[in-house]
Amino acid sequence: MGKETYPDPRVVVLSKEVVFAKINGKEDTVLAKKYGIAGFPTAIVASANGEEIDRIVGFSPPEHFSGTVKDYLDGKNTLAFWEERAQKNPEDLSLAYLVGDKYLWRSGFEKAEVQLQKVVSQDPENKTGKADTSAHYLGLIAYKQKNYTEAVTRFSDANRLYPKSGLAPDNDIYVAVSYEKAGEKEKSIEHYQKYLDTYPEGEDRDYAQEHIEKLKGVPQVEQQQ
Amino acid sequence: MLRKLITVLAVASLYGLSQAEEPEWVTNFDDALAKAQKENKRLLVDFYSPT
Repeated sequence: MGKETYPDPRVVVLSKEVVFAKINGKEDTVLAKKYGIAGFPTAIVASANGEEIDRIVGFSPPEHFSGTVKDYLDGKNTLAFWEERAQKNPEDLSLAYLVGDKYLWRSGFEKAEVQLQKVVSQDPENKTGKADTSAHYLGLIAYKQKNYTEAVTRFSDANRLYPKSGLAPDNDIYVAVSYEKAGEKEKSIEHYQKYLDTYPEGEDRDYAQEHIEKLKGVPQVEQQQ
Repeated sequence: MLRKLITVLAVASLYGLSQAEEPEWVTNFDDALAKAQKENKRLLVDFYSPT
């Protein structure tokens, strides 16, 4: 992000409205914890007293980044923006999804879960197009909280409820990873193998193969430089 | 006169490019808060991992 996004003139010009601060999240763990930083990079847009307005998680290209920050500074597309609308329209599942998504990425897991569970339970046919992602996120919430047994159940449920979802491969690999994290070696191998059999060209095939070998105790061959 | 104008524009352009290289970063959070309050701005905090 530093090499491409921040030097872009469309981003630099935001200096007129914001003070740019760069924090090593691995070093300043107190501040990272305070803001519920769950991954890097994470850019927080905040008021002058440090109260979060909203955040951008992961890499964001310059145009998207500057547009999103401007929206946040104008009070658009923020958690508060969507939460207000969701409260006025409690039947609108797309709004519930947006609020759940916002809470998830700021580590507000309990509130995220309420909204995402609502989408899943009320949209079994995925008419909103968000129910499959919501089900995946419910798995992710358990995983991020290191509740790996629950994560297995939720990722499996996501694929049972929405088998045609584009997130099905992700759910399958997360089942295997969650079993591995839970220390269930045999089940983990079984599910990594299932992933390889189901998605021979899947983007996580190398990861699955490596972990099968690791779990089986096959010596790892170091790649030549 | 035209040559002088071109030189002025070129220098101004180079100055603009150098200004566009990176935002001015504050690496201490409390300093950033104080600066934002002093300049009546908001904050953009980039949490990064060095690895």
